[in-house]
Amino acid sequence: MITQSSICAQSMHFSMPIATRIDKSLRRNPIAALRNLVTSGKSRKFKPLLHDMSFEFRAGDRVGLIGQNGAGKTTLLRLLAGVLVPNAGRLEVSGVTQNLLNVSMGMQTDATGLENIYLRGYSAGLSGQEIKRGIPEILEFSELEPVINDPVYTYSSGMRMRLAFAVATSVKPQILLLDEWLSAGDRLFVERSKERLRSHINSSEILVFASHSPQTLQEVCSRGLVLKNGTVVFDGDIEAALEFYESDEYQAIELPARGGNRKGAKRAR
Amino acid sequence: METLVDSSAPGEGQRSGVAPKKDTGNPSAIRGRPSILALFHDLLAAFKAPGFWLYGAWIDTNLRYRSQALGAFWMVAGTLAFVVILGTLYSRVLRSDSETYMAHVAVGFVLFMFLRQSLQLSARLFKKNQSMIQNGYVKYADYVLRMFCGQLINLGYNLLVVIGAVLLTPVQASAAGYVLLLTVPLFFLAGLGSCFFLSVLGARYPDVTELMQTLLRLFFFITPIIWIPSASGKGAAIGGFLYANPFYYLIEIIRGPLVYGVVPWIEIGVVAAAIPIIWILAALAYARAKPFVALWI
Repeated sequence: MITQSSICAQSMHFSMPIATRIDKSLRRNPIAALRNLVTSGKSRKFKPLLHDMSFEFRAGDRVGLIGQNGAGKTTLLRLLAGVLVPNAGRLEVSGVTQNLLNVSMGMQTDATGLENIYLRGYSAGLSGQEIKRGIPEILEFSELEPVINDPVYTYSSGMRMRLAFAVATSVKPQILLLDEWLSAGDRLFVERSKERLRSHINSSEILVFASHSPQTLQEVCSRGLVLKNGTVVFDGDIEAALEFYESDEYQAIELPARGGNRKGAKRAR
Repeated sequence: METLVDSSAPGEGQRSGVAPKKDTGNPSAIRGRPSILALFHDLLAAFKAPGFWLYGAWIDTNLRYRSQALGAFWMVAGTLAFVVILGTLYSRVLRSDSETYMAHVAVGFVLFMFLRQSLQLSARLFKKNQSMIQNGYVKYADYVLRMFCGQLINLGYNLLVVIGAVLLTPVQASAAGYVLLLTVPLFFLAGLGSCFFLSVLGARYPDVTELMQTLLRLFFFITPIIWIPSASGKGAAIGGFLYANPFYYLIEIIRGPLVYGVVPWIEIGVVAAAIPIIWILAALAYARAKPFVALWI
């Protein structure tokens, strides 16, 4: 039964505990040294990364995440992927997801390309039969047929990416999460992968795509979510979102005050 | 292909137990803290879809010996050398009049090495799989099963040495052998539970990795593997300390019936009592840690 996929977040907060080293000198601070035995020499602070995020993605949405470095794009993707869990607020993800958050994505570099296809396929919950059926198509798209029995460490990063992308999209996930590394491929591959993304995302599927390339975003996405310092500052049509991001308005947005940060941290506990 | 979407096969996106549930009134649901049964849920899911960890275990073993001329022989080479040389040399040094010394060493060494490897790998398991975890494969039970299964394959090969040693020594087959049907599963249950517990502990406290390495090296010498506890009491010089050594119990419940033809009821009882404790601890740690493992590593 195919259920409608959706992602829904309501005033979601996320803080990351960061370990900071504390003084380890026994002479200068003997009490701290004792405490260090318990805390392993680190003190934990909470750094709020996302605060008060609310949005709703419906089936058919192709969402581009836009924002400067450190705006929280990758963190948001990790939350959506279920790697991280929000500290407060609500996040509901329904649908089978496939994630391409880092290029290596747990590829076993000393195994062959074919073995990695199996490993990825199994980790996506496919049976051996289903993987076998998908292989010709993966080979065709990734154009790796001649080298598929070579170990992956002999592949260039572009080849690895092609393999990863082909496998992740071959299983037709309901929700596809992509971090910005599509741009690492050559132009031909980028063109074909855009095409594939467009054709795969039909009415029952959601794509969340973080990128810095306005052109790619415009071609692939229909909706834009602009982030700044862990908050959503714009949500709407992709054209408008890109325009907003490039305008002075985006730069002018006040960063959340320090007080706001502490509030986030408190909520996290 | 479509079946992925149709079936309830756990894909990467399935996160029963982790994701905040619809009920927002419950604060634990907001925090997304999984129930104490999370470990067993995940184990059940892992056994329903064993593809990843079974294939992973096979590939890990396969890759390790792929580029070597002697391949899988290296898995047994160390054990073989150890058992043969120690079995002949040490039996003289220790002036052991026991004819079963070779089998004693073989069984003890192989079982201990299995536990040692599994526990050591557990402590740094999630760190090792960091890239996959960060990419969204958060079914942590699968990583533990993959590692444990890989060690089982290794153990399987090493059993060849055990069988050889047992055949070479005048071990009488006795009715006590039937007890192995009970004690072997107990051995693995205790081992797997400890692996789960240690994998979480090692993710949270990186020092555990080093601690385990030190401890396990020490335990090799204070566990009766290359020496034999005196025939009358258990363990001559080491005396009562023997009973404080968990590895002694785990090894004895298999070695006793197999090599000596005795049924070590006390040891079996201790292991059987420890298993629920180990698994409850593991389940508690697992449930507590599940939302945070990705942050710790």
